[in-house]
Amino acid sequence: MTAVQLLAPLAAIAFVPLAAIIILLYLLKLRRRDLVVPSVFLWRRAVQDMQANTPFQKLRRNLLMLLQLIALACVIAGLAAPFFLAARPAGESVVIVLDASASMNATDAAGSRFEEAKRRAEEIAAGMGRHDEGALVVCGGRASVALPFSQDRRRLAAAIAAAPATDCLTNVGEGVLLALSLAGKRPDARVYVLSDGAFPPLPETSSPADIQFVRVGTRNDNLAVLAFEAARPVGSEDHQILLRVNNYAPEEKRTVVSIYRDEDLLDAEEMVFGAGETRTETFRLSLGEPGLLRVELEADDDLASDDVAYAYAGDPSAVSVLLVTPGNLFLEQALLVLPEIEVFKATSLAAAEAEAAFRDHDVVILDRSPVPALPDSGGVMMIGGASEGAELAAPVITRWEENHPALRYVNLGAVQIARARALAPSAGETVLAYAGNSPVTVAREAAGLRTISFGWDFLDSDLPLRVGFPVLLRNVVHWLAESEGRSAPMRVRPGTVVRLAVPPDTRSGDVTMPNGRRRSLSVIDGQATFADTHWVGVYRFEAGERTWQWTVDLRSGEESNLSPRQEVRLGDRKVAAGTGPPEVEQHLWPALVLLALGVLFAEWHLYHRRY
Amino acid sequence: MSSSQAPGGERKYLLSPEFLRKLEQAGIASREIMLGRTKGERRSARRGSSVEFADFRAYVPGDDLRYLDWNAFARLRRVFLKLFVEEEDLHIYLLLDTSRSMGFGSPTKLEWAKRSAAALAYIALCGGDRVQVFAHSQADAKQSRMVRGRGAAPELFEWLGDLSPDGGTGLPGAVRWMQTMLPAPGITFVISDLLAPDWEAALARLAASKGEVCVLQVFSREEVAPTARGDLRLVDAETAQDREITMGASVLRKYEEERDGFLAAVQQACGRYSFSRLFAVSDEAVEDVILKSLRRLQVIR
Repeated sequence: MTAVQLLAPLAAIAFVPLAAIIILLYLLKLRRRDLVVPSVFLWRRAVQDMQANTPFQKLRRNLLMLLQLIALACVIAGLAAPFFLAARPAGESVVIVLDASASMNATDAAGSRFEEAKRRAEEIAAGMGRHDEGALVVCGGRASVALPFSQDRRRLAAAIAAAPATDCLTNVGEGVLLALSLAGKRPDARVYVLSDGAFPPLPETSSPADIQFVRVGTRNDNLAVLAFEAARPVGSEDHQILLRVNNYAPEEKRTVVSIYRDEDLLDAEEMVFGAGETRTETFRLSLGEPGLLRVELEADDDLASDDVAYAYAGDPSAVSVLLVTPGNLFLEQALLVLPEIEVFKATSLAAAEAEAAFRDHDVVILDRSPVPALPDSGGVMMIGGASEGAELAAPVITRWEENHPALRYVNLGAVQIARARALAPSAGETVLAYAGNSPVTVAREAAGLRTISFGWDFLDSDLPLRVGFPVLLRNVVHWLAESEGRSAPMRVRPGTVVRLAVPPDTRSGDVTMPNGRRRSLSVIDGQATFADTHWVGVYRFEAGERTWQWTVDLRSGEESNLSPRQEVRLGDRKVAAGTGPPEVEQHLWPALVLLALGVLFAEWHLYHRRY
Repeated sequence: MSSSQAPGGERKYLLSPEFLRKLEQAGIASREIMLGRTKGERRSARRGSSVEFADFRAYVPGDDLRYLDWNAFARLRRVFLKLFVEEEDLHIYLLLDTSRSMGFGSPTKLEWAKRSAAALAYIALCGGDRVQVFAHSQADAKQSRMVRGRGAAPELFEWLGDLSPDGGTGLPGAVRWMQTMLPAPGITFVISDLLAPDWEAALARLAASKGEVCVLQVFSREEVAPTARGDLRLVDAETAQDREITMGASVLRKYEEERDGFLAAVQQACGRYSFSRLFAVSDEAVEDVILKSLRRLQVIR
């Protein structure tokens, strides 16, 4: 509600002369009419009596004049047409869609854009009529209905106040669809999208609901890390760090770029980025040990969560692989191609040699060789050595874990396999690939030991001929080799669901979040699922003696681009940014006219009371 | 009002012919038995205007002891009453208040007073009495000739018609002035509104001299029931004093109380002095007053 304004303020000027006329009339009235009488002889007593009442007479006269002035003031005020703007959502059903993405944490509004959006939402909620209903949809990691339709404005305000900010990517589109489905067929439904507009065009919708875009955010003063990678090139001892930074601000920005490994500062450099400049820098660092690298930009910009990124610098020393095979040219060649692998060959592995072999090598590949007793630690890859299990003829891999580090980037479904054996996963083994209902690839991750078994002989399939074969081998080898605590943490975007394969004896563990809070997580079927990766930082899961780590950072040009959009698009429809529900003029003149009439009536009554 | 004198004795402007005819039948009644006169009898009077000792008469019980001749009693050891020339004629004196306050009303009080005076004068003239009219205000005081006989009526009427209200009231002064000119006691008719603070002094002065008095107090309708309303400044027509007043219900009530008290006081005073008194409003018909009310009061036969 805004302050009272006047539509016709000039009318107020008329008050002065009119009031002066009224006062003048009353002053003039004090000059009595002269009446010549034969004698005032008989009027003596009446006059004496009247003189005793003179103060009351004066008061009564002044009261009448005052009432007339008040009535005049009311009429003049009415003519000046005062009004105030009151935000009326003008809808019986209101759905508020609150964008809680990373860009909403920008500080170019009081508090943050998200705080501003919450304030606007509260304004909308406050302007609702008594019989209007409101709902709240919050678009954080996922779009969810924080409050279904309710006429209780207090609940709506509480839900708005409780909505948490996140660093997730924008999914307002999902939120709008959710809101539209909530509104359904209600008449006079209105959806308010409170966001900075940093989302792609929304899909076309045929819902009758009216969509209003309330924009928050004013400027784009941001410096962001778009890419941060660490890799050890072929034959090099040092790591190469790639850093891409974009300056979205309209002026140049000076910043100090610092690279840390865990808490140790490795390198710091001051850089100046011009307005709108995107620059890619490369560093060379020699890292003694592997570790989690973190880059930080010390910049005074509006969004802090995109000033941090993580990358894992892996072990520069070569992985020692022992290949035990009767003969597999494809396997040998493919392994030799991989740069960081040192390959040793053997045709067979006796039980007595097994222990030494496992100790001396990081990974042991058993190709069609019998499996000795598995060691306590190390990595073992078994190909086609299964002697039990159902025989599968021409199996087709229908399901496989694409996100598993060992199977990434490989399309197992296209592999033609002549025959295979179904594997029976034992305790602690998870199935990585199914052919129909039969497991054909299983893996185990125990304390210090990682194993992966393939139920078919590679030479029984066209897998070695595929482009992805070296990729598969590399991934498998590296996954197996990283078993001894040299775990490269997963690097995910905010909002991603993280699935961890945990040893079967683990029932639950604790997750430590970037803000230090701990949460317990239960393990189901050897898998721990964590969905609340809403904030940028390092997450840690501890179960038993093992620790898993994963990092969340933005590296998103879309979120880092803070410039508030002027409009949003729904299919072909464009909704221009507004500042909130339309403010309707609430006129006051009817009330003033009624007041004037009331005062006039009182004055008339008072005047006639004496006669 | 202008006079229209038609030759032949018809006087229309003050009194209508029918009224005049009725008046001829009437006669001024005297409560006191004038010495030497009996009812209905009039001696032919010796003319003269001075008070003259004429004769003695033996005293009979009931005569007025004022007229005892003490010198004769001292010498002759017998009670005799003096007889004066004029006492055989009844002198009718009419005192009109011509102050400005009499100029109010419609018809004005003075108009009414003139007509009443004309009627009374006519009665007296028709009855053979002597009439003299005095008109007094602080601005002007004049008196008519002492006249006798019906033929003098036109002259008197014309004299009355020329009167106009002006000046202050001053009733005691009027009475004093008049009394210095009275040749003999008679019956004095005072026609006034008596609206002056010194009205009682005037009546007392009248009572101090010989003769009967009849007070005709006349008010205008406005004075009986004021109709003015609102915020007024009352200005006294005679003294130019002003009073500010707001005419309202309670103020009117106060005025009515004052008026009633005043009229009652006048009535009481007249009773004390044995005056006849009549109260009339100027818009009442003079005929009713003269013929009926005064008859009731036995002022007129």
